[in-house]
Amino acid sequence: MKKGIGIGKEALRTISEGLTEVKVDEGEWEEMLVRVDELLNNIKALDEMELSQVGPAFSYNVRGEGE
Amino acid sequence: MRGIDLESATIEGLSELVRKKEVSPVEVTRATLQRIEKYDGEVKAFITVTSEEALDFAKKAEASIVRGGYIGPLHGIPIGLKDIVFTKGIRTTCGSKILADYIPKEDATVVDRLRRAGAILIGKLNLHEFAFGATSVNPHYGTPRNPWNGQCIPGGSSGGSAVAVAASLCLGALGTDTGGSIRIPSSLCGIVGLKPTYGRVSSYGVYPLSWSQDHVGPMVKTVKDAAILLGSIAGHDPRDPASRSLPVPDYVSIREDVKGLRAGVPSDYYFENCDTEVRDSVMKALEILKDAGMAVEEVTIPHLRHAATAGLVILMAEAASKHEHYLKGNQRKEYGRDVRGLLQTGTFITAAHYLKAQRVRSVIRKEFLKAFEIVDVLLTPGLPIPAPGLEQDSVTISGKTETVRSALTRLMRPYNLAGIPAMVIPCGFSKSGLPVALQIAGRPFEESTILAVAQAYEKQTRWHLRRPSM
Repeated sequence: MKKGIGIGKEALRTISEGLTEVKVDEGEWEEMLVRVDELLNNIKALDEMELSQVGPAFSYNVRGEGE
Repeated sequence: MRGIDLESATIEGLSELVRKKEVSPVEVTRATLQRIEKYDGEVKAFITVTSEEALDFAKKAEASIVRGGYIGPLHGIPIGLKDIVFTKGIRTTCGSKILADYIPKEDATVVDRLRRAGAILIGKLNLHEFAFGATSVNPHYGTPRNPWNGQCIPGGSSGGSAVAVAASLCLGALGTDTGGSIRIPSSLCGIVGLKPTYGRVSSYGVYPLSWSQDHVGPMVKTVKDAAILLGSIAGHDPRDPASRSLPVPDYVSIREDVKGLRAGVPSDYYFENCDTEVRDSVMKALEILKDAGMAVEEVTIPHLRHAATAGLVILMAEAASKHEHYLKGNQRKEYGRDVRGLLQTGTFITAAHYLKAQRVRSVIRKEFLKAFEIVDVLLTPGLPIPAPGLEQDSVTISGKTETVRSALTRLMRPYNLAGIPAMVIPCGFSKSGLPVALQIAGRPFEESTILAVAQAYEKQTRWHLRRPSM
């Protein structure tokens, strides 16, 4: 089963079982696919931003230090 | 002693009576416990009521005050704590089944500070499980009800804190705010909620949701009460690596006028997809502040539309990391379905996604700071909608449908992402009688300016005096 961003249940299950070791119960995969699909789509939308000269913010930046 | 009208009582007003020994902390505490007994079955604000400890502490406070040992405005005043704030010897469930029997061995720093200020800790307040949700729908402890309409959510995650304050089951409460969790329920329940600057109030001893976005702050009935409570918990804590070592101003001596202050309105994001009644109330609030002498102008935060996603990605990744241990084992079955799903989804966020979100954060924070070179505060709606129904999953605003979670968080997350202080205060009611809020954000560590603007508005209006009929 493919969703908008192209990640299927088996791919997610492989990542889940092989990499993150997080167990998802059989009856909850469909909801998971929808959520992951939505999340990845939203993350993809961040590509609109020009970030080539930008580093990440860390906690000490957020509290106003190191800027 | 005189009778205590808890519905109209504020920390500021009651503390004056306590100071003058016209009202005793024991009387206040007993009256509060009686009110909890009478109404909490209906509104489900509390997970644990600490009656015995509260009365013991009240007796000690009373004895101390009689001896002339009055400490300050929280001495003998009942305060509630979101049940994610650790309390030594008192169970702290985080609204979860997983930690249903967890009893911390020490107090959170904010609890220690409240105790030192003489506050009486009246109980632990209901919340969205592990603070991971905007509704406070809780499958383990029951869902707290909005006191203005029991068929509506109170908002979350600090829903119990907002309900307890709005229903006058305590004089003030502490909440936490990672994506709006103080300001969402404060907006929906018609109270004042303040998320301080990141690093202003210690998070030590508060169960983390997202280390880089978690904030602790006051939820109260008035702006002055927010100043009192913030002043008691703010300040550097070496046990919290995010805590900033800066002096804490006297928040209580709030400037009461806004003449000469400049406000920015980022209307291209904050007023899009906003309910008409909310928009009208907020626009009227802006007029009131203009009439009070404040300059109001449009400002632009160019990449604001990406803030909610960046904030959510960071939150989900950090929360998944914190909960990894539970997610890998059978304890995953003990989460409510919604929270388990969100945590599991967070495990699919890659390091590259997380860092992209942190880079977006750099940009948006700088854009906010640039705006604050021109204006002193930003004025926006608190939420785009009044309180949704308990079973409601989606809302439609101006023909556009979105999830309730998105509607409740999209105007809130930018300030968690940027770490800047933001406050909500009541600014009206919908035709159906539900509260509407104005949000005021300011420069980092300039909570005093936000409080001044809020105080100036509150002085001109009477929304904060309305109480739900119980």
